[in-house]
Amino acid sequence: MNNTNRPTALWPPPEGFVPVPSQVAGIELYAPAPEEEPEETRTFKCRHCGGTIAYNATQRQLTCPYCGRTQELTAEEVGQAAAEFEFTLETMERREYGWGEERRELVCESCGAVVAVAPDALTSTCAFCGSHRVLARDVTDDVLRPTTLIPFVVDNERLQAQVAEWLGQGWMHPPELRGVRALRELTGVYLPFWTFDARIRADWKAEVGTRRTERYYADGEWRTRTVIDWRWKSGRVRLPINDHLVAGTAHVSRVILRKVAPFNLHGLVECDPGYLAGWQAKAYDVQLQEAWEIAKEEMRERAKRACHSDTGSSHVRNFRMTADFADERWRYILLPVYLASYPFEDRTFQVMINGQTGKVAGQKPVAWLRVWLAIAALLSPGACLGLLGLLTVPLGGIGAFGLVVGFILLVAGLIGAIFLFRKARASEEV
Amino acid sequence: MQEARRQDTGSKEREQAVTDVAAVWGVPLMAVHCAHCGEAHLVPKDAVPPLCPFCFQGPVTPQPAYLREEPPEQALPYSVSERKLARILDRWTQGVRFRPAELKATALMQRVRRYLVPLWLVDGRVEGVWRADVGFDYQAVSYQDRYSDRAGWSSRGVTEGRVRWEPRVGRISRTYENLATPALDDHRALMDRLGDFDLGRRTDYNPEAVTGGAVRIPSLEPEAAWTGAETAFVRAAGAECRQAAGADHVRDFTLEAEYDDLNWTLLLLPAYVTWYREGEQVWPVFINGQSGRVSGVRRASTRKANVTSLILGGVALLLFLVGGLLTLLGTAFLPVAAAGGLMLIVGLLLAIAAPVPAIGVWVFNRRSLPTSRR
Repeated sequence: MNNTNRPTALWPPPEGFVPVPSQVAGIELYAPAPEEEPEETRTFKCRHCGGTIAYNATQRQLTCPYCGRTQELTAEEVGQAAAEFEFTLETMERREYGWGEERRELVCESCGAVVAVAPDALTSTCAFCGSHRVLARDVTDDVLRPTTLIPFVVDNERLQAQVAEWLGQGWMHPPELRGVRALRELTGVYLPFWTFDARIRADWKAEVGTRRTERYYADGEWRTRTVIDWRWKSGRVRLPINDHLVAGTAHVSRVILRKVAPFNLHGLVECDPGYLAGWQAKAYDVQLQEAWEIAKEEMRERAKRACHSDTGSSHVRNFRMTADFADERWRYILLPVYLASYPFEDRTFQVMINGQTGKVAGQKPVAWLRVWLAIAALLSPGACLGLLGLLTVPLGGIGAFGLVVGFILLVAGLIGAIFLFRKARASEEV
Repeated sequence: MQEARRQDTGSKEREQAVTDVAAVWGVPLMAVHCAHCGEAHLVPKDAVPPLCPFCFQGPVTPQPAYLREEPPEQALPYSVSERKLARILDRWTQGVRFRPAELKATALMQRVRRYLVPLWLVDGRVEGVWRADVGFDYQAVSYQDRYSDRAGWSSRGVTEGRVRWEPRVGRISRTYENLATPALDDHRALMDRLGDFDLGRRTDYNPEAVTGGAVRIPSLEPEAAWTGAETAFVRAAGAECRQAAGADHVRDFTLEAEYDDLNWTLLLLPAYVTWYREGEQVWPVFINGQSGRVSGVRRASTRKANVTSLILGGVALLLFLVGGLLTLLGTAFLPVAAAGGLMLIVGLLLAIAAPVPAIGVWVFNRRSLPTSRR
């Protein structure tokens, strides 16, 4: 084959191609180099002083806390173009396992949460529930390796003040909250998420009603009434869904997670283990198939709403539809949040901060006396006026008027009271 | 692909005629040329057909035999005997209304002749570089969910076969043998008529294979047939590269190669030809001598159909005239009027039916024509 060594349009093989075994003698084969094997577990030590270095959210690079030297991270920002995978067994088997760096796991005996930490991390507090009953063990490599993550952007130094300000907001909380500074260890944790894409073609068929007013004669007079004319209709809706997020852990409050959302997925970068240095990372405990079922249910409900909207009427009956999914793809990503807890009156409350946007959400104790007083204040005008009206009904029209206005005010107050009560409940909800 | 270095010896053979075909082929054959279709054949020296054995329309005239000095290397044996051929033709000629007298198995068998179609078999060594996309089959799960107000949601997983394409490049150094390459300009058209041959059943050339038959003389000598040969080499290399990659599919296969040690040999494919005449035209019929596939146009007799239509029309006219006369007489003698009316009705029905044979045959013949000849 000497005469085939000279360069041509086809030869030599493009950059990145490597020889691969051939099943036919006399035929040489070159293929794109396979994705890099999981790197040897990396340790993050300063090249100058040997101290443990960590990813610094402010400087967006690895920093040695002892000598201040920095080390750049070269991972490419891929955003929503990050690689996605189909639902094949083969693809799942091909994903690399492990974290790509030396890590240990902390297992909380109280809530069961498992987080991966650097081997020399000194922590004995569960970031999820604040419990100190934490055991350390060697990390297991039987989890998929995340492909992309959003790095921490918000610096935790200014978070204390930000959280304190958030705690002081709102009249329905105890005033003592303003003084709470005892945020237990504010821990930056990369939380696991699954993202799903799909194209849905939804075909629907239903009886759709159209309102019509008609006149009819009854009891000696002409009257009007509204009737609904039903007729069968069908249609098709195409719904592309991109990056539908499902939490990969059941150990974090979904209510609070929803409150700190959204995350800007344009900020996704390739998962360089350097971003994990000095930070905790939670492995997924909601499996891919389980998460896909959750996502699929949410997606098809969206498709159903889109079909209902396509009917063009609020009167729909005997509705049926099919949702054909195509190009289903998934990604396993890590998103940054700070978790913290604080004690208040013998109870522990959780706080979560979006590590990308700084948005704070969490549980806040409620001063129920204030809430009940507010509810009483909302209900009392209606109740009083109604009572007064009731007493003055024998006097004629003024009494009836008072009764009606009192009733209206009572209903309005009731609606406001329910809203207030639910808001107060949600504030303490996990 | 233009870099091919060929070591064939056939480039000047057009100018060199084989003077003693019998010595080379082992059978007394002579070359003839058809003035009508222009095709050249080898026919038995002692039984030169009056008409061209391919188009059956022009007389043949002797010409020098522009052939290689080597006899054919291999031939496919006839699997269809003449007795079996008669049954095949009998079946083929059935189902034609107003069938021409010559479109019968017995008539066709009287004119049937063995006809051998040449095909080059090329051996050679390929050395070069290649690039292609190779495809790997895999299965993925997709979903179809259904909803109804009564039953709620139900979900069904659907396993779909998909192909994952990956680029590959490489070098190749392989030898290929007996790659089939057209030896005729009209090879594709002829193969469309005859259908596929199982080349795996070929045997060494025996002069008996051509005895009594007509052999089509290759119109493409190796030099001219090289394009087809190169295509066959690329196809064979592409299949092997796919195999080398362990892939299920290959696409966009590109090969830059040098071809050495080329060796061209001739293979003869077995066929039968016969013909019939309908109207002023001759209609050839081709039969694959291995599979028995028949290819030809089945025509209905226009003359027979027209005569039938005329007879029907004539009878209708007669009935109409007699019926009309009787109806007139019926004004005086009533019972005669009934018979006259009946004859008028029958005449009318016959008049309507009279054109049916002529139109039916016209439609049948039109449908039986190959699209390009309509």
